Amino acid sequence: MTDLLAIQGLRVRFRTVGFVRALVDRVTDPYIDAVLDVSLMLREGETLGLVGESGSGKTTLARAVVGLVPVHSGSIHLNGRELVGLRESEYRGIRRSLGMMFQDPVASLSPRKTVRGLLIEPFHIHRIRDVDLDKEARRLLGIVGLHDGFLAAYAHQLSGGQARRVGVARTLALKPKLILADEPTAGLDVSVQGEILNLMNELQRQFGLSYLIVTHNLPVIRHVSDRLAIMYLGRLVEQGPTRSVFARPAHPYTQALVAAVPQPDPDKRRDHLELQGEIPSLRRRPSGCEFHTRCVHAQERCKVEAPLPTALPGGREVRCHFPLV
Amino acid sequence: MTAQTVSGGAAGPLPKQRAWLVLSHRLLKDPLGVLGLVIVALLVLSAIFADLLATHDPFQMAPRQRLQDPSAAHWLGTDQLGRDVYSRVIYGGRIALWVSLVAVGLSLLGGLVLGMLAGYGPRWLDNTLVLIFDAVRSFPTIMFALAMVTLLSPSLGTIIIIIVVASIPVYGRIVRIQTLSMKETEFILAERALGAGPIRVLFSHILPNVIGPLLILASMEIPVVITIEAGLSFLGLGVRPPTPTWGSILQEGYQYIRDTPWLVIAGGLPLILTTLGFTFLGEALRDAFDPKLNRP
Amino acid sequence: MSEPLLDISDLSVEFATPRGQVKALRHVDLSVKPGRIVGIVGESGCGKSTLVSAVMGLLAGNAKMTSGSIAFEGRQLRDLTEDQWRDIRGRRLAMVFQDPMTSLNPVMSIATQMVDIQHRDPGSRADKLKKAIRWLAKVGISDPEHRIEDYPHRFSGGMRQRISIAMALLMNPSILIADEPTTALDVTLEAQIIHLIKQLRAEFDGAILFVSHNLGLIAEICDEVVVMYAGEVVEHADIRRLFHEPAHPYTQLLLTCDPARVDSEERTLPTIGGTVPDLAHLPQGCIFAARCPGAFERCRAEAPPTYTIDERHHVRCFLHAR
Repeated sequence: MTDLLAIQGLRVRFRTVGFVRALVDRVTDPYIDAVLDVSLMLREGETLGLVGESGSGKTTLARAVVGLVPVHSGSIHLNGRELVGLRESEYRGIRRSLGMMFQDPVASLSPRKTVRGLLIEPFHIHRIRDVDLDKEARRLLGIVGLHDGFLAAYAHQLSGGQARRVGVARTLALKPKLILADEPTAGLDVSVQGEILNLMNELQRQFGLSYLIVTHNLPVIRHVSDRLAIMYLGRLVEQGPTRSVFARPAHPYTQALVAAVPQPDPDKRRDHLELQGEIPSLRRRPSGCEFHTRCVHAQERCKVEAPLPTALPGGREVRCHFPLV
Repeated sequence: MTAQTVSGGAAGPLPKQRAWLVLSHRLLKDPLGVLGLVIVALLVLSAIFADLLATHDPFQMAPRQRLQDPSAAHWLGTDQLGRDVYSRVIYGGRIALWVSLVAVGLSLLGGLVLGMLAGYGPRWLDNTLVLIFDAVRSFPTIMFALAMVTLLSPSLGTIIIIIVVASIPVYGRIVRIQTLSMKETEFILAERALGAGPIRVLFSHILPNVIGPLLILASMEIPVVITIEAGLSFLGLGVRPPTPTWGSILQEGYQYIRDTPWLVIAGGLPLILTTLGFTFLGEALRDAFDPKLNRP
Repeated sequence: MSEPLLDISDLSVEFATPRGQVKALRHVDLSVKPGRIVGIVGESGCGKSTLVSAVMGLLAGNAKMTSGSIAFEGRQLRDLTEDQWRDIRGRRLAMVFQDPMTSLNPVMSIATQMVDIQHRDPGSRADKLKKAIRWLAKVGISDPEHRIEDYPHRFSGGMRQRISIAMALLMNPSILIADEPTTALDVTLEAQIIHLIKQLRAEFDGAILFVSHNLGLIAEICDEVVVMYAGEVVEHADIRRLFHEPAHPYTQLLLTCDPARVDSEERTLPTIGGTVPDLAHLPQGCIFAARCPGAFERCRAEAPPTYTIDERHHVRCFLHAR
């Protein structure tokens, strides 16, 4: 298998205060790093789960790959081609091979367009004229399991699950290789979640797709991803095969995340809290290991020295001085 | 595996409801809205069929029949030059409508383009346009009008230019705010992620979402424009005689108010009715569009 | 056995919409006893929000109670005037929302807001402030003496939710309604808030109505559970009974669907299939019949009544008819 997507040392920063304001208030560093020193790769046909809490930079990372937010430094290779530094007009062609699904299934569909209009728009955008648009629209709807009656519907007339299916159909229109899905099951009912995930699974088999799934939902990602990457404050703290990361988390943060998921079994109630405190602000990153302020295993060394990514057996990697495995 | 097997339970019944059907249904339930609609329709019809409706040539003078009261021959009497006032009012309506539609249309267009540029374009362009909008708006309209009339000449064209320049910022600011707030929504990001360029995003996705409220605003601006035109004509800064407009009929009637009240009534009444008609219609449209007023 | 604090019987609510009457709640029975945490679980459109609004007297203008009664501390809530409602809301019946900013006023300091709620109580402002500070400390706000002067935007989302819990409990209500109180929070913060509610339970002698779509949270915190589907209560049971021996087919399917309960590495997840019926055009018979794997002829012809399996387990399904 070859690497479809390879990210090296990626850094995305945002300006938090305006130029004038920074001068007046003497802000020396008006930037925050939303994504910092992230390296990861995705093989063809693989599903990578990118997991983190709000502010971890997982959504920003996905948007950087699609070119919706500017990259400060580092590189993103898609099929061997460098994406960082491409001009907007050059990027547009790249987007044919990249599909992106956004969080809100209904709000990510243009409200004044019919489903048919939404489905054929990718062909208009990329000026593809040698296809029968009506046939394509019906074919795409069929792929995601909706009948033709939906062609005339507007986004607001669809249920969350139906809208999500239309979103999936749209990203498939141009036969991409890689789909980035930002919380594909957010806002959906449990029973509908399963339908969407099964659909995505089936499509992966059918079309050989690769997925980068951004989520905070651990129970869901456990069932759909081959590998996991855990983010905290814009950095990757752990990555490895899903099964082993869940079975034996190496980073204390991963362990806390797994433990924080409530079990739907009244006999497995928890009486202690794994993780105290809240995520620190990106403006004031803690010294040393950035997780030490909340880590139950933290020692003196963690407060002063930042850990580097270390390889573990089984294709795993962790950024911790005292990994749990 | 075929596509059908993954269909799950996605085949739900679809509510067959068109937005405009609901809209017209709501509009027709509002008595004032219906009244507005009727008045506006009458105005438009009389403007279109002015040639058929007018009983006399509006420019035909008859010095011996000046300032007559209404009669079978002259339904609204005659003016100081003996012209048929009814016919002049009908033609005046045509001019009022023409001026207001052109002026509102042009300012709508200008406001849309500039507002979307400001909202979607780079920061410096936004700042510049907002500065210009504010500068224009802070300048008193009447002074601007006087200056323009002095510089150019009092004519319909000048009136239209004055109105367009003064009201572009009104539309522009609304469009800018709407564009700004929509710029970061997921559906716009989704379009960009598919590869859509700025032109497509603006015209295919942002425009359809701002145009509705803007058209309502425009329908409420039309009477304002008609009043401005009448006001300028009344002050003698508008249309040159002998062109019949409601403003000039009113102004002439004002000079002869001691001889007859009919001229003032004939010029003023259609003005009031038209203003009310468009305002009722605009307000009814605004209510009908408001999804929060979820009336059955 | 003690008297129920809240006793809802045969409650039906309809909404007038352009599509016709939407029967959002139908014949809901629910009684809540002191000291219990009662979970209300169901998917979107199941009527749990409508039920909460009906109890709080906050139904939308186009809603109408078409049958039933809600008795709270012996009073009929249906007959209350708006004045009497103000006596009850926030004082006897308190609520914590999904978004804490719903209950916090952004332009007032926490101190002002927490003193304001106590305006009907005797006592000086200083005493009221002290009480407020005590509650902030209880919900885990550090340095409450100083932080109470801050405005809501100075707190993080998790802290705001803690503050709205403190505000809800300040008047010692007899029922606290928590409507998806952790849905907007991250998992680690969610765990903290749930932990907090469990701790506060000891201090608070009322009952909690815990509304959620998350079965994990329900299992974590509730004593008994009400399962709702398409506007009806389909099952009501003690927590262990519900998770270990669910009686209604919908409950059974809902539990199998939860990815957190699927223990295998299986890629294909179980689903329910079918869709929720249109509440403006209800099907004849059982509301779940079209999606139910165990449905038989009778289910499609008539709607099942509520059957009692035992004293604390009720189910609306013909499979349990005796």
